[in-house]
Amino acid sequence: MNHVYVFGSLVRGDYDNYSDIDLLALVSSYNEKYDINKFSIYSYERIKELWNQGNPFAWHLSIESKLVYSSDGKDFIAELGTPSDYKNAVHDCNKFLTLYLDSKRSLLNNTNSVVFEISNIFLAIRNFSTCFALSKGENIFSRDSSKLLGKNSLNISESTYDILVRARILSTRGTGEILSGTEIQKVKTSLPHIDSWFNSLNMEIDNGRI
Amino acid sequence: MDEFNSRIDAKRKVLQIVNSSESFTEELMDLSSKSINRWQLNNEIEKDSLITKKLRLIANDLFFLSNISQQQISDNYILKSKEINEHIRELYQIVSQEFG
Repeated sequence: MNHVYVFGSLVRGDYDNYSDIDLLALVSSYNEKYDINKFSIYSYERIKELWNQGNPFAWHLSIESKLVYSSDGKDFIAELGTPSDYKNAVHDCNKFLTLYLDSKRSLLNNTNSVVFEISNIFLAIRNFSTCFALSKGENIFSRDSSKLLGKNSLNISESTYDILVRARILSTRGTGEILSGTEIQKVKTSLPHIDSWFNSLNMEIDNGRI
Repeated sequence: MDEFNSRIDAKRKVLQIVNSSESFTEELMDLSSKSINRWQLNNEIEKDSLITKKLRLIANDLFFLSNISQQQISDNYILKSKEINEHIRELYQIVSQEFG
């Protein structure tokens, strides 16, 4: 049995030059026709688990996926219904804050893997934002989730934000121009600002508002 | 440490080992297949070289760990984590001996 879904920006309607075509394959056993470089591949067991945990990826799929192939004529995801309530926000936010702090430390210690660490910083910001929003009942799965949090949005310059996005694309897709020394310095300069943003959202978590 | 952060840490170790060599003109930026392809091409590394094979092996193992289900987690996860650590040790030797 297998099912294929398209999800993300293409379904949401904000597909752009930076976007990937996100494809999900659900399989009952190893299936060589699904290339791990083109598909997110999950077993049915794992997807059910994510649904039961109320995992953000389950919420993402439940809201922003579209069936494109089904070997049994059924829509597996639609039949799973609504995922469980999202309860792991504190744990998940902490996980992405740790990612940010580890990468920041490495970057400031003059790592030899600069693009990787800046890419991680972008991932941490994006995923932290998505988890934070979901815990408040808001479904924001866009790549730019950190800009869509209203008064809690990350406020850094567009040019710095673009450098973070470029690093992410370099590391995941292997395309784009390598970051210059000036651009790397620009990211380093913005770190205190990003620290403040994480601290402010963390305070909301600590205050039990999420 | 959370498993997610541990996997990122393993990736960081791999990249630091590779990028510590001055033989490469462009840094390795991730263990995604496309990123390894770019690194291999821009540094004129043979497709079937030991270092490329080892990097792809580690990348596949980390991918496996990220998709493992809770029921499988205890035994398989520990076993695979040990394998990854062994591969990282071998990668270090390859980089030291061939690209040191």
